[in-house]
Amino acid sequence: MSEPLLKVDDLRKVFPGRRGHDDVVAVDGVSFELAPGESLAIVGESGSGKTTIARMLVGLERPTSGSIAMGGAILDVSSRRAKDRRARARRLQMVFQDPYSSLDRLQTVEQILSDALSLDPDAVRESRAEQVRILLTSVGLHERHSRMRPGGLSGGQRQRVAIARALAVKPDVVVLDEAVAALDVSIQAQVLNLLKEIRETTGTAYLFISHDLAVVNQVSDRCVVMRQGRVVEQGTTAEVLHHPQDSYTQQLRDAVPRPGWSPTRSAEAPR
Amino acid sequence: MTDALLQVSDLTITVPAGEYGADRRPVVSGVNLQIGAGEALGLVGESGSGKSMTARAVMRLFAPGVQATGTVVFDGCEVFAMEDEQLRLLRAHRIAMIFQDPRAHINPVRTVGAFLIEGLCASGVSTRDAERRVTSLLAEVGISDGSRRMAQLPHELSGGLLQRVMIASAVAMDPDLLLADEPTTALDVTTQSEVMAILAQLRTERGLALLFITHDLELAAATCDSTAVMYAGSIVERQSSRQLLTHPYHPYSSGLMVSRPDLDVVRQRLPVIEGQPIAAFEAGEGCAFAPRCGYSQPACLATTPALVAVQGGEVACHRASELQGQLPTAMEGGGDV
Amino acid sequence: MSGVATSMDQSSSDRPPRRAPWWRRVGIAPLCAIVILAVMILAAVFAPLVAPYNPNSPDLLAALQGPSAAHPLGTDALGRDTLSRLIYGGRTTLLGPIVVILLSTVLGLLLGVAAAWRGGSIDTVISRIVDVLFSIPGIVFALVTVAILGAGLGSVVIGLTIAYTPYAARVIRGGALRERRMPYISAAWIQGRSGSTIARRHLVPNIRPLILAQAVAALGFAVIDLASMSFLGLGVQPPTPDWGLMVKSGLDSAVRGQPTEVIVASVAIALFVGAVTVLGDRLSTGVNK
Ligand SMILES: Nc1ncnc2c1ncn2[C@@H]1O[C@H](COP(=O)(O)OP(=O)(O)OP(=O)(O)O)[C@@H](O)[C@H]1O
Ligand SMILES: Nc1ncnc2c1ncn2[C@@H]1O[C@H](COP(=O)(O)OP(=O)(O)O)[C@@H](O)[C@H]1O
Ligand code: SF4
Ligand SMILES: [Mg+2]
Ligand SMILES: [Mg+2]
Repeated sequence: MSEPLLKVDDLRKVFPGRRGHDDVVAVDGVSFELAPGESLAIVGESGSGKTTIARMLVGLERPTSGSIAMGGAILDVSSRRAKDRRARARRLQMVFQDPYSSLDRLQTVEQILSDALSLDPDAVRESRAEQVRILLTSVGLHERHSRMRPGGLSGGQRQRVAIARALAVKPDVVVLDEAVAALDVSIQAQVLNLLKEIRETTGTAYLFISHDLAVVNQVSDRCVVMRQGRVVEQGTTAEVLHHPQDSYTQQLRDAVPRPGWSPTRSAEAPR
Repeated sequence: MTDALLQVSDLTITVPAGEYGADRRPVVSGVNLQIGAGEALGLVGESGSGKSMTARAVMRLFAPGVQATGTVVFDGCEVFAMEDEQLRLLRAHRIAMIFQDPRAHINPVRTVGAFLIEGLCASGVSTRDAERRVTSLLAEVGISDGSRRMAQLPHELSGGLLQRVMIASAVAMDPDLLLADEPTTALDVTTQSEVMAILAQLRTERGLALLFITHDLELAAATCDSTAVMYAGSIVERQSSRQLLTHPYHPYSSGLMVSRPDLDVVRQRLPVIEGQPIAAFEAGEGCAFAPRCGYSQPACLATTPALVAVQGGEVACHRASELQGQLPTAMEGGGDV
Repeated sequence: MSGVATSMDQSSSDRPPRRAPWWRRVGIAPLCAIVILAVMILAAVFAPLVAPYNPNSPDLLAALQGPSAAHPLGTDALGRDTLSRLIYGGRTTLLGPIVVILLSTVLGLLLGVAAAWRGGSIDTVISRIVDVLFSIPGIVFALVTVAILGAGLGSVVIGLTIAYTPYAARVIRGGALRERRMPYISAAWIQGRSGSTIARRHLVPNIRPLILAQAVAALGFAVIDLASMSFLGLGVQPPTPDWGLMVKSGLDSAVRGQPTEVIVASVAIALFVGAVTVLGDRLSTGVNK
């Protein structure tokens, strides 16, 4: 087997409990590997720890224990120095769930993208406008969008800008945290196609976080099913979908609306 | 057809255009809807198509500057002609509404319990009785530790729990009609399934009628008796949900259906509706959907298709009869496999 | 039959309504406030051009007069023209508070943003100091600086700047803490931007409305505090024209039967503070939207 691009080993995150509450174990001993160019999904209901994993990967949160390695070398995830963060950003990028708040509403699309492009020290300044144009085209936007601010764009267009920002430095891995969950079904389909196309042409690996198994089925080769901070099952998406080993996976599957579907209530108390 | 619980006829809603002046632009145009007692109607469309505005019109809940024409008849009374007191009673007792973002509609500094009993107390129920009723309501929506939850503040509850609280509060006054404006859009699929199951149960137990708004056609079709599809402020198709899934008449309905990813089929490319949704005032001559429609012909741009009765429903498309049975559906999968 | 329903309710809509004309959006009261402030500030700036008399030239024969054609707002105990003193007085009365607010906002911004951004022990230290300073009435600082540096506008401005900085720092820290949690800030952080770049390029521009609103709100208090100091004889020194001083000397004149000066000066202060408060309210509701 080829060397994994990203290797997460026994990752744990405990948030100290607020006044009078117990500590929250958000992520509890999670391990997985991501091969170059692969698309791996993390699936689970909300609160299962998906976002916390994403935030630890990009350095927004310090793991309580466990390790994250990239290309064989352990990532120093605890460093807050701008230089180290920049080095990581060149290889690992993130797209957030809410395209309304993940872009600075005061910046133009051009500023947002050229900020991202400036991460690459070898980039030639002269061609910045040209680079922005290419980037916009690659996510299905037009040059005229470059002078607009997020307020003037639709949800789908904003998420395309966020994707363009993540792709600007040609990272090896993009972490997509519920990146299509806030979009209309029809726009979601456009963005899913775009993501697939980008992976085919650039070979970027995805860590695709979602709560919807149907969406995962469309974009991921393998998936990790999480519940309450732990991995309950992992395997190829087809295996997991068609022969779920865990009853929780079956529950996630049953929750997806489809023709002939009827909603079910689980016996458990809601959290 | 006067026996329907809710009858919306020729509803047009306009908002002021631009800065000032008397210019107005439509955001909903000529909508007709009806819901019988205990019936559920799904209203589906992309962002900006006018779904929320239509729902708000039923309760005459408009932001300043918004104007509506047409009629909304609820249980024989005309909502737009009501006196203030009548309207207040309508909103308090007969029609309730739940929203996509429950957090924006609940006072963050008061406990869940205080929020839940205020409506009941205002109508003369004693605090003791109100609390007892609310606890049993919470149990109905799947919150068994009701008394503990009632002491909590909204921010201590997850989105799914808070939406259950909103549903409990909406049905507390035993309304006849519930307007649900994308109540599950902010939830994960597991919680969505639970919330939909709760709504279904309340409907059968209480004979509650439901207007369910969503942008997910398959969700609406799976949970409502009939489904109306809205585009650019107008209804373009209405059918029984079962038939809509198998025999859509309008290319837009078909497009919405097949663009949703599937659990069993992996597509090289999802069939998408290209381009962006538009609002009613942005529609050009002819069929509003024409710029995004894969079946459009020059004739489509000439005149606006009217909503006409077809077997089992209504559709507004010039080519409906021609295309009937040819439009891809979610059942068979829309594209290459 | 068909009914027409117009906007009956102030219910919150999912989306902000279309933009109304700017003057309608601003509102009548804030608009009046802007006009009042503009007139006062322009008059003070162009005092030599608009004042009918030299504010400091006494005319004992015309002392303690009521309004007349020659002196529209009367004269004071030394026969100086009250209107001219009011116009010139605007310079010291308004300039002092403006300097106080500018300085305290800049200091508060540095402290507030540093505390919110760095968090941890830096936040704890800054917040503690701010809390302690905040609990001391502003005028006390002014009294202390006057005791050390002597009476005068300069010492009062320094004292009040120290007094107002904690207020600005606290408000800005709160806003910055909220803004800091926004995903676009996380995105910039992931991109490897340094803390100072994020603060400069993203954080501060996005909380600018809040900064402005707190500055305007504090301005009203600063005017009152400075006028009080002058009234007590610790701030601006006679014969420099100043509204606080005019209230003081006007009181004496009122005792001697001529209340015009004290009324005029008090009304000027009240108008200015009122206008500033209305504007501050308007700015902060704009922020909360
Ligand atoms: N108060 C208002 N003033 C002016 N225009 C408005 C107002 N409220 C809504 N609109 C416009 O009316 C149109 C329909 O809005 P509506 O909220 O009904 O859409 P929707 O179908 O519910 O969309 P979504 O799925 O985003 O909730 C949109 O173009 C919107 O911008
Ligand atoms: N900053 C935090 N402080 C305390 N608890 C947190 C924090 N962030 C997340 N959590 C908790 O950790 C758990 C996992 O959260 P999250 O990773 O956001 O889940 P998901 O993304 O799967 O919905 C939840 O119980 C959540 O409440
Ligand atoms: S009328 Fe023409 S353009 Fe409109 S939906 Fe029908 S086929 Fe498409
Ligand atoms: Mg999450
Ligand atoms: Mg809506």
